[in-house]
Amino acid sequence: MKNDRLKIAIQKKGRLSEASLAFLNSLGLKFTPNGHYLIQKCENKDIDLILLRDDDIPEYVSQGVADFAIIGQNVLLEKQFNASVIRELDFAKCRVDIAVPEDSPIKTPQDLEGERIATTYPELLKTYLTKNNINSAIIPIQGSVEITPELNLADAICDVVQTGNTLKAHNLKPLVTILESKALLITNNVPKEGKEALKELLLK
Amino acid sequence: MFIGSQLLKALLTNYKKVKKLSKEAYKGTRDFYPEDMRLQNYIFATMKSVVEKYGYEEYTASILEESDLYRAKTGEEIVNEQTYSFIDRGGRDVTLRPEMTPTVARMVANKRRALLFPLRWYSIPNCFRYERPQRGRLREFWQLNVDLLGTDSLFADAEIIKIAYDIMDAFGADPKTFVIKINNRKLMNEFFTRILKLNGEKSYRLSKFVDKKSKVSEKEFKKESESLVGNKVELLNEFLRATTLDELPEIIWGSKNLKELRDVMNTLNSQGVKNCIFDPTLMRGFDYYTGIVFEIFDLNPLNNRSLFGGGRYDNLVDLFGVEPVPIVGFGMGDLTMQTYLETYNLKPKLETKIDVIICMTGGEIITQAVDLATVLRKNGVTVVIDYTDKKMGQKIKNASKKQIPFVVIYGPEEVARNEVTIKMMKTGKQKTIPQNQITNYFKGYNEI
Repeated sequence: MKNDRLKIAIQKKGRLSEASLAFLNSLGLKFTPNGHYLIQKCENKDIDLILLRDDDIPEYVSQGVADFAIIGQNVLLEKQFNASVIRELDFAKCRVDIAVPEDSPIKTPQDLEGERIATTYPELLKTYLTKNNINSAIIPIQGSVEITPELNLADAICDVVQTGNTLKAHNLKPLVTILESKALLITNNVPKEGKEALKELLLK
Repeated sequence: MFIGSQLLKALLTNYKKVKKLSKEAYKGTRDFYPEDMRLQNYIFATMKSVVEKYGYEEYTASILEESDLYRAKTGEEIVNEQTYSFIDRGGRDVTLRPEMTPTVARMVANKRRALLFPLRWYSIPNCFRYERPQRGRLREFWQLNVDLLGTDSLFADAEIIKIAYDIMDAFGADPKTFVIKINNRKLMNEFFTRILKLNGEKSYRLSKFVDKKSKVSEKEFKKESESLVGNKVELLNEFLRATTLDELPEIIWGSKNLKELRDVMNTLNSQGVKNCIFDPTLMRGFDYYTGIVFEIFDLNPLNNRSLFGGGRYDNLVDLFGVEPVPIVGFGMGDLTMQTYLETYNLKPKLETKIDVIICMTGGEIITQAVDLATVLRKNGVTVVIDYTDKKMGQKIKNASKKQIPFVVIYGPEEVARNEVTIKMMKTGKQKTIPQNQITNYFKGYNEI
């Protein structure tokens, strides 16, 4: 059963989900929730909405499975996939910061030399460190990054910061911002019938 | 082995009388100290990474071959004046290979029926030529040989040239700094025999002379070419002046050999190779070429010369009395490439491969130090253990001289607390972390 309809991918559950759906609604695209089914049909166009983990979205777009997607810039850069950004969106704004304990001897990014940095964004961090000629031990982990300095697994962390409250709660302070991120509308170079018209609508 | 002191003394005295032993490498050859070897390995690894992506497989053979192998086809000049040849103890005339191509032809002929064609083969042999050593040319050199055997498709010619181009690219060469000169031996033969009406011997002499054109004066060239082609000299000059296929004399336009050349050039152009140019004076020295020949030419005014080249040679295997095998390939010397990298400042900074040296503050923890090294090595970290009794300051100084980026300072206290202290040589900063984390710590670096 091959589904040839145009597809837009958004985050299933998380920071971007609601705002992404609201953005599509604002363009007149209405989708009906379909229980636990992760593909939702558009009520008024031949389009499907697919709900994915945001980490997977760049892959779906670069493989030509999803025609368009809404994704955080931080995730897109971390995954290093080929996708073209067609529009910057005004939501899901956040920073990716390197943060250190309040009483840390690390005062400048250069002090990170030789230190352990725990992160869920190893690629972003690596790019930043390489560009600034800093050598550090990147400790990649999947989550709860903020507790690693206290547990002596790391000397600094690199993670998404929205309000800064989580940092404060763990006695951490930002050292440097490595990325100012927002939501992006992306596509690929795979041609498909009706794609140009949908692109025009999404750029309205 | 114990040598009696008197005997040793006698040997030494005797030796001193004869000659002081030279510390230099034999004339025209190089010693490869570790830092030289790093560059050599980088050059070979870069070459290999490209050819292996095209599915080429490595082969090799002995450096010694019977001299007859080279007499047959290599070209008179090389065999008579430039080989290391000698008679072995069994009376056989043998030669240190001056090039790899006859060897690959021999190997293929030997298993002509068993091999599954087409073959994509490469080798990086060392070769010997008895020449006057000069910049970029020594008596012993290494040479990447890439050959596509068993197909006469023009796409094979294009693939071989594209590989040469990709290798230049892999070394970081800007395609504006070199051109790929290309010609077709068949087109030249057709022009010499069908159009200029030369017989086999005269045609051969003219081809040799055209090959040397850039090295002789215009006057000399005029004199010699007139003696060979007589009143057709203007036509010859028109042919040799052409810089594109369209500028060739009209009389040759219908030639299928010209079309071959055009097809190969168009194929390369469509694959993004934009610096391929026609050069009617390009012959390539070796007699065995039969079709497309090409040469990578450095455009730098300070190094204006041919870097390497190759072409099609379809008749070489027949010498062994087996069915012919069409072959296209090229050879690329290590020295030429090294000079090129130096000219364009493309030599990467190649540092020691040692990541970590473990320096102990007490001898009684050697077992633990070895265990620590073992764990790191299993995880891909290159580790050396310093067994000397030197003071820590001296050990660290030596590590710095050797450009080892990390020193692990390891003593009974660290062992007792299950910790390690790591000194970063770049900043001099020291840091103590739990021993269980050391692998991830260094792996984190390896990712940078």
